[in-house]
Amino acid sequence: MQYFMWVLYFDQIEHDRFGTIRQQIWALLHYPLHVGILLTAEGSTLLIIWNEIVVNLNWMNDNLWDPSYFATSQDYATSFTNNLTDFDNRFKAKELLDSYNYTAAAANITHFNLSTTEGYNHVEEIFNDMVLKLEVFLFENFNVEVPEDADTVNMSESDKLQALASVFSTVFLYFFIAGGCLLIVLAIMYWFGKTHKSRWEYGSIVVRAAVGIALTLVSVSYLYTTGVNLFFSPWMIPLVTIIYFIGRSFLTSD
Amino acid sequence: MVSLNSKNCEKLLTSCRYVVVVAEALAMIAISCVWRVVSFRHTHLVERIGLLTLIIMGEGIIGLGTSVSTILQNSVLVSGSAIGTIIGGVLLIVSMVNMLSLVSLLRLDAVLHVGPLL
Repeated sequence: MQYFMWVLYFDQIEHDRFGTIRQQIWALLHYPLHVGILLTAEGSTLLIIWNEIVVNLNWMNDNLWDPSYFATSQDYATSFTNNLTDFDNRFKAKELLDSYNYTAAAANITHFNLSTTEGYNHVEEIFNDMVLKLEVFLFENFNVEVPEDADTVNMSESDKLQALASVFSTVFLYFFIAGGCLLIVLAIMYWFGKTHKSRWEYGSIVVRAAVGIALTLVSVSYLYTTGVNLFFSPWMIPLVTIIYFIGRSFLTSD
Repeated sequence: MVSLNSKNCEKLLTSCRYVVVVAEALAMIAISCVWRVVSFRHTHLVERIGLLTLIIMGEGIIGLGTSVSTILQNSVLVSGSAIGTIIGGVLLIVSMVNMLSLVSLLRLDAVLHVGPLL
């Protein structure tokens, strides 16, 4: 919103100082450029936080034991409490006990007998509940919030998790699209910017536009498993950074 | 006809907003073409828009700073991959400055005599 006000303000001031139409179109192209820069930078910010969340999720996958590894529920309750204390020690700002009473859950586990199917199912349920609550805690720990909406008032825990995760999947999409569009807009502006272009410069414009389109199309991987692998790896930001660096040094004659 | 409940209204308003912005930009160009055609003081516009671009990039850097502070406030150990991602983010902004200097700020150099670094 602030942005719209800025741009309109500049348009107001400058309308009687315009030169040729080339200059005007060049100035007009700055709007998509700015939107691209903003989205790429903000996207990289959120993806940094997402990467930290992913590291913690991987820790949870590796270290939280589910009931099938234990013979008696007493053993499981002890390991449950130990696991969750370890988890809690990874975070300094918020305490897990405030949002999820895991000592009560551990006490609950000891009431069930792991060898019977019914008891096992109950304990399994407690385990799943714990995982869900831990994941929601993780997101809230990093100050990620579900966008306010009429539907979000009475949401179950798993719906909340879906909504929180979808914040980041949107970021994944717009980060790559914005990064690619930035390159495309820069290619167009370069085309407008210089009046007498050598063949090398035409070539570099084409290459830049092509790389921009390619980067935008990376977001199509959202539809496939490759996209999920990319999403959970720390490589998203470095990918775009490397492409920009290469674009700068090899694609230009300056 | 689309029913006028609140969600549809919001979507309509958002699309109207974009239409109005585009229409205003085109109107600006049209007006400057018709009534005030020749003016050689265009370098002011170039300079200002270059500076605006720098401001937008500064906002990006601020965002980076807040995310780093959120991570440091909340977790005890910062993992190696998180540090790598943060360095990646900083280099992203640096590379954007480099790329943009080719297109827009290059003229700014001529005006401000900045030198070879930018």
